[in-house]
Amino acid sequence: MLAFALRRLLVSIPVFILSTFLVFLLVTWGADPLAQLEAKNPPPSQAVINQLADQLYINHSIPARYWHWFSQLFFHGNWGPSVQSGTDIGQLLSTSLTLTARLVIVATILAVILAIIAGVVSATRQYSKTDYTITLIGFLFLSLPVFWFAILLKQAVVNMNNSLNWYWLSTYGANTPGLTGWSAFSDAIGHLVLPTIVLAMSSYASWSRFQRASMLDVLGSDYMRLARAKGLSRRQVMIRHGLRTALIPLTTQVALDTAAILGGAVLTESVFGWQGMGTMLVNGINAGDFNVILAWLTVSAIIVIVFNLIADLLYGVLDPRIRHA
Amino acid sequence: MSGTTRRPLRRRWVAMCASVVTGLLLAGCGGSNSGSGSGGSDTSISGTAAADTFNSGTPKQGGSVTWTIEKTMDNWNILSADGNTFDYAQVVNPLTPSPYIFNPSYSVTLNTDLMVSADETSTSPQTVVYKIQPNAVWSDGTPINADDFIYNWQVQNGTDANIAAATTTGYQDITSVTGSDNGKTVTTVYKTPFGDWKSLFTNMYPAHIAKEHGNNEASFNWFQTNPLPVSGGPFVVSSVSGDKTSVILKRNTKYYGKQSPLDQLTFRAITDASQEPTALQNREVDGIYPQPQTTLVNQLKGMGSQITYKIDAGLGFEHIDFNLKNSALGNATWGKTLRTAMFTATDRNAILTKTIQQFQSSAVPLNSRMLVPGQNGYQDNVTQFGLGEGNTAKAEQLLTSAGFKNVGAGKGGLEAPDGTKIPTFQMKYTVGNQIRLDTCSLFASEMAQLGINVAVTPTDNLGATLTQTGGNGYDIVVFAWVNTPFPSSANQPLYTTGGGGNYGGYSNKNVDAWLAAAASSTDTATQISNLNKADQQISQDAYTLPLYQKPTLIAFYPNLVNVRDNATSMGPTYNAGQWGLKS
Repeated sequence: MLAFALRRLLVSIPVFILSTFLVFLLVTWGADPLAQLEAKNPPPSQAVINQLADQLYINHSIPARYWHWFSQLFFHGNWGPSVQSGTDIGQLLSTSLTLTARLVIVATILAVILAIIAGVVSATRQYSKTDYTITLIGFLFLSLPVFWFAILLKQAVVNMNNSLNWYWLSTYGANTPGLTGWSAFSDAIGHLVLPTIVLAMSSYASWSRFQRASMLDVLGSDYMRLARAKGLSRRQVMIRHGLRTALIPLTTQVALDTAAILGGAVLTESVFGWQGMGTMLVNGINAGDFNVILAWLTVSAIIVIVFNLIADLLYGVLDPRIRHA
Repeated sequence: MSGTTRRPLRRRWVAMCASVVTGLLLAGCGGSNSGSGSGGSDTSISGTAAADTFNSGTPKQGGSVTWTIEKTMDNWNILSADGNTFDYAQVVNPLTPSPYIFNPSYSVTLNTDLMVSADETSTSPQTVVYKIQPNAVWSDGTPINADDFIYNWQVQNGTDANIAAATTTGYQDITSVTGSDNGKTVTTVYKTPFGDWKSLFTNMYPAHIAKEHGNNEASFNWFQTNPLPVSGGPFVVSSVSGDKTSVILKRNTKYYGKQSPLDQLTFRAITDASQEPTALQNREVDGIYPQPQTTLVNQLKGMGSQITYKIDAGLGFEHIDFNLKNSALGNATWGKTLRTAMFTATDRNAILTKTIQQFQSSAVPLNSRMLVPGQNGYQDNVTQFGLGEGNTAKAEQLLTSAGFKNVGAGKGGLEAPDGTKIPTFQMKYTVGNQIRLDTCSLFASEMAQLGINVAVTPTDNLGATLTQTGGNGYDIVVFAWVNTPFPSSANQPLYTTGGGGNYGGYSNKNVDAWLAAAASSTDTATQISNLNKADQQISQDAYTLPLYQKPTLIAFYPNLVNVRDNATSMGPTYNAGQWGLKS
């Protein structure tokens, strides 16, 4: 197993380096870090613009710039300067990642729990009204554009808050400034509810369909019939034998999709004003801040690679045929 | 016992769920609100005396207000090129002293909390003497004195190339700043006369704090990344959130002027303007100041009398510019006729109808590049030259009589008198800006009537497009200038040969001389006369066409008093120390 894990890890390294180079090319071609400064009114002097260009190392060839960026990052732990003075990219990354992790973890847990319940209920009551209802809801969330659903939900909650004159659920940001203790905790939960629902719903929709199909496969298998024939209760058969087996594909699917949830977080964070990874990327693009964009893409690449690795390892753990292949 | 507590809770949840479902349905149907009348107005009062007293009242003591900014607080030094941003200035205004206040009426008045007087005592050499109030101190008790004036002059006069100041205008003309009377009298002497001297020393940073952080360059950079540890205004910084999305200011108990009625003023960053009305409606903020757009204004209208909103015509203005570096538009022989014909065929009223009149019915075309209505000396310098009338027949006649061929639509494309085929012009606008896209589309269709092809394309990099760097460029562009109440110094770089903001390469010796005379004169009448002469000449040369004053929008809960729009660069927080809750 260790050799399998090491093999997978070694394969990931060149994939990562290649991905950073491709990302670097795209970003350097696509972003002009001097644009915002040049558009200022009154216009800054050429000396000021040149100073920033020097700081950003943008007057060198692309390979030289890539090596400069790569070596600064991996040998000195330096993400490079931001075009927005006062922004420490490492610190920005750390606060953004923490915030997004909070959102993604809670949303993933919520989506997994709902998906398992919906998938199992749907499968065990195949073609019943319950199955059709759950299927309809699943497809509804699958087809809803995230930003549209988010805006709709926000407006609905605002109307609710106004009618109840109770403003616990918030529509913007991750917290209300200046609160401490229990009020701060309660306030943070109130800010977390809506973006979590939005982020969880799209994952829930696909995972519940996945879980339903997987459960149906298991329900039709011989060992389930044998377990029932041996006299085990329906509940025991479902949970011990059916669900446990049916969870294997979902487990690896969740590991693979978690990285993709980051993509969904970009939209969700924008609508709900969370200063997480999504907002960091959007702001970086708007400012032509290529080191910020690179930092985001590098971290995303690491997350994708790590979760792919986890998925591979989980396959290996769950299915011995893979690790011995 | 538990049963008695559970029932109301259950009812509450049922009510909550019912509200969400109903709300989703209503939100989905596109309407949601109960407000009947509107608490707003789109009749501009900016630049009039009424603007200074709008929403004035006597506040009660105490309370807090949460105000919206549109950027996270990444830079605290608004004197720096990078930090020179409107939103940062909103936070820094109540922390930094300024000798003069730029009022909503566009008048510039002495800040008598800080200053005893500020007088021009000599014109040759120009000398200005400031007398600071004896009791004016920073929040740590250090007197505000000549050292602060000297520091703020040194970091903005352009002598240190390593200091990236936003502007050196005016400061570079000063030869010395000296203190006397225990530093409470400051004398500034100019090597070159600078008419807009009242614009200087706005938002001063503390010299004694600068000294603690190295030389001028080091301290200037330090101020960019660190919240001001002391304040010379009505509030002091209490805390800044880790993600820089919120800044809490508390009342400055050492403030030398009238104490702020508010205990706390919080700034929250909402970086997506379209989310601001929702946050306002959900009482997450008490006031917003976004760029007006139709959907946003409609959302506010939907809130009815729950909020107060006001749309004003701002100091900034939208305009269409030609790039005279284009071989056709800048042609020495027939370029001026071509440009004049194009602007003659441009219908500004049609542009307004299709754009900002959708939410500001009172908007009218702007007829000056130098001044806006309400500013002393504003006059029509545009229509007398026939620009912006949408008169296609007159434009065709201009072209035909100058020898242009194939004038008109469907004739194979316009040709210059020397046989040059007029090329397709690239017209640029900022990506995502629907109003500018509509302006460009209308302009392009009007030009098609003359046989001129205009290709409308967005730019996601207006700065590079204007400066024509990195493969970017434009033939025609629509964008806005943000003005201050000091038109002489603001306009000089925009139209002077080789000026910093003269992106289209306009050059006229008379205009250079008039603008220089306006900038160096301390006499208002001389300034206005020269500005208007330059403006008329630019109209005659058909270099740019002013469209309309960029509207501003402020919205807040009606329980706030003394909160009002200020279309100058100071913005609504120019009087944050007077803000309060209705008593």
